[in-house]
Amino acid sequence: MARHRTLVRLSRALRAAAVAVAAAAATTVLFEAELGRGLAMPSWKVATAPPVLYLTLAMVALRHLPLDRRVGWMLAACGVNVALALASALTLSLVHPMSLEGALLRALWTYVPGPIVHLVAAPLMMLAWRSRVVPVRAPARAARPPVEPPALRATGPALAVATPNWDSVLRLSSLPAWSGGPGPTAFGRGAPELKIDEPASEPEPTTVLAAESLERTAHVGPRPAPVDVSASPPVVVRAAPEPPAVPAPPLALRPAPRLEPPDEPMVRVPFGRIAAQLPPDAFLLPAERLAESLREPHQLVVPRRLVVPQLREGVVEVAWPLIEDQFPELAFAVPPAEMRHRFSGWVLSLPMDEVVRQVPPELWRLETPAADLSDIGQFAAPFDPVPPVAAPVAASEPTPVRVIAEPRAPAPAVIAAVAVPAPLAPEPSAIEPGPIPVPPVPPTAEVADEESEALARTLALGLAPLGAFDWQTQRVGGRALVSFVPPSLVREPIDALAVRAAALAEYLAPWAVEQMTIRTAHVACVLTPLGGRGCLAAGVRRNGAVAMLELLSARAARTTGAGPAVAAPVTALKPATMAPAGGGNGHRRLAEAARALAPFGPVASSVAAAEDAAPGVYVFAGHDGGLLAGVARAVHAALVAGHDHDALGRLESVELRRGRERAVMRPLRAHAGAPAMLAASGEVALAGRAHRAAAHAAALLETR
Amino acid sequence: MSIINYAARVINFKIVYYGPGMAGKTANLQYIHRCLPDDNKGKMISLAAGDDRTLFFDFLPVSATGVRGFTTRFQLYTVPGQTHYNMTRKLVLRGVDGVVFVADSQWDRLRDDVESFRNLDENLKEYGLALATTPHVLQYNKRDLGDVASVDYLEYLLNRGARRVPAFEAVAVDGTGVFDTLNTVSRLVLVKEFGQAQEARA
Repeated sequence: MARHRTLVRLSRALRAAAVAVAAAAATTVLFEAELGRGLAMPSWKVATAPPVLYLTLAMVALRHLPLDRRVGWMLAACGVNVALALASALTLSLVHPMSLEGALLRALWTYVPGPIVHLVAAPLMMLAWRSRVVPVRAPARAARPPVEPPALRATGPALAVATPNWDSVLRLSSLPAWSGGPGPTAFGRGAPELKIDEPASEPEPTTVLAAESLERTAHVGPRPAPVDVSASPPVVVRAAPEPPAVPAPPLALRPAPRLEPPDEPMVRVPFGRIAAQLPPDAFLLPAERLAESLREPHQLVVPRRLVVPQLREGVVEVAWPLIEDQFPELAFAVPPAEMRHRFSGWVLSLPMDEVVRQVPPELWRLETPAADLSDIGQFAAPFDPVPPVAAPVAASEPTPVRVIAEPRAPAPAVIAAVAVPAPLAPEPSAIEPGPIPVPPVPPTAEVADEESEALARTLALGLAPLGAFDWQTQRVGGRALVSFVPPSLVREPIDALAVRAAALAEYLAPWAVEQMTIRTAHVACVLTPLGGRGCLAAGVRRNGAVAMLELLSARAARTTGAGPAVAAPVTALKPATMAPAGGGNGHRRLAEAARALAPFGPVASSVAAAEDAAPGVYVFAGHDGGLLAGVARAVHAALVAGHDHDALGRLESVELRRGRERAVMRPLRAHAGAPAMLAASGEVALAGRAHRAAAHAAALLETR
Repeated sequence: MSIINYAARVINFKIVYYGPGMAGKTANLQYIHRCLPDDNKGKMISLAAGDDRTLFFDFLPVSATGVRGFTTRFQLYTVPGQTHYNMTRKLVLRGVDGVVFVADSQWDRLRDDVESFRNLDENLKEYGLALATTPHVLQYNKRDLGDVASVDYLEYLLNRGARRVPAFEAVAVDGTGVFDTLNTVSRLVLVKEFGQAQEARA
């Protein structure tokens, strides 16, 4: 603490020195610039101006001080004025070719701007020691009697006898009136008109401790001795007549010391519980040292009579002026007056558990009788609960399977010298004839049940940032399909696309599709499965905010409680038979395509040859190429075949997302009548880049 | 105001779960919905924001045993607890027959409890109702947490009428006290409805 005090003193001295240097420099600069050299003033005026001005200043600004102190301040200011003149004379003599005597003469009398600068600068210098001249805290502390141990607690001294006028500074804004009690209410600790009775004598049993009456305490005249609230539990206050209309005294932040009973009960709050509420820039000391420096170390002390009226609010707040003097003055980063000004409305919320624990329950425990409930006995309990059962697991639902990633063989990022049959001709050894997986499109029916409506409303909230949507709910295979289409787009083809996509998502459930994005030349449709609740489909224009739609759809799906997709055994999907892309029967385009697909990570290229109506598939994947080819064929069967080119434009891509893994399928423009698909899969960090890479790869493969 | 269909011998009551945000109103309804047999409950409609806070209201229709020839149906509503949804709370309170005030027992939520309780009182007054004459019960929820206020103090904060209304300690997420609360407020509603009918007949 001594070191800290030294720092404060040093800070004051530096501030004063800065003012002095500025004044001397200003005088010298003015003189060198030949400003005001022509001004002339009688010497007696120059000599008498400082005492007269400073005396006036002392009488006006320091009127609350004794006369001797005001005169003393005036004399000190005159002394500082002379010292400033000396400093200016010194700088003048150093800067300008003149003697020290000549410079002193000019600084004191003959060069008029000099004395004017000194006249102003002297009070500014003395501001650095204003707390010595105007001791804000000293009187209260000086008047404090020797600390006596409190009556109720063995540890810690009692609050000083001279304490602020708590009531006059109590914050009122946070204490709204209780509206439940009838009639005017008043808390009358400070008001002489209020009478505190025992509850037995009070016809109105409702306890009324309205805090707004504290407002009145600022309007009453003489303050009576405080009422010990603990003497009358529970407190019932009779509605009091309005206090006499006495002009309200100004709310003093620094009230005059008032004698309090030394054994007034207090509430002590550990400083650590409220330290976080202190503004960090208001104190010089860290919280630990601040806690040690409190008047009662590590504890804030608040009179119980201030706490009790607030107990009914569920929160107890104390204004800063009430606890200010428990902090050491030197701990403040700013002067106390500025502190009060800056944090005029600042209140501290006390921890309620600490407060309630220290307030006797008799002060707040209710004694009102319980309501008569004998009448309800004539009715049996209407509801008889059955024990809740865990959410049933449908037998048809796939058992969660932990998919263990197979160790991947280190695949080269780009396979050099790849070869691919062009066009994709079936190789007898690589083809296994089998049925083409065509996801059946279940019948649809428009529905408008409450559950679907609620689901749609929930989803609509999630998509709201994208603007206006028309939504429609229909049943696809027993599950709800909620489709959102902007009013500017034709709904029917998008709905039809969504239905087919929903069926595909159902078929691809073993692949655990989290989201499917279908891009055509005119629209983009994002389909998001909602677990057992159905699917969300949303369409936007092709050049619209597709990525945002994907994000919001996924977020909206989460709000419905749709959990993450669970991967089922991959054997549920029929993989295609793959032929490795190698040897000498390919061409360099496939290598270039694999190189273009770098955003998908290391991929190996392979080929599934066309089978009957099933397209050939160029597969670029790190693993499970056959499975991906099977998925691509299912996509082709569900979406590419029978696609509504006229209404939606050409189907450009279908993107399946599963965690960070994305699979992009693109139908390739057929050559010689053989349909073909590109399927690329991998963990993608930049979805847009991957999408463009797939488009580029498709373009390479389409080029012959 | 209960709605009586004399032809169908059905009487509908509206019970509103009121309280500050995150106090557990929706959790009450969810537990009720889980525990009632399918024959006694309808579909629960819940409109919640992404952080599980009720955005508009929750609604759960439940039916109970017949009373004096009437089938009683209770429509359970919750309100959004956040202070800025007061218009919604007012709307939900329209025609209310009984109120369950769900209070959060944690120390640092007591102020919200008090403000919400006052808000309930004010909103009822706008419909010409008074809390003292509206069947209501208190539920002190989250009693399983560590930093909760004592029941005495909660009573001091919230149960300050001329007569103390029934209050229940609860842990809504595991169902403790949920049906005690519901049954009591339902019976209070029934007493008020059929008691008034009896008085009118007399």
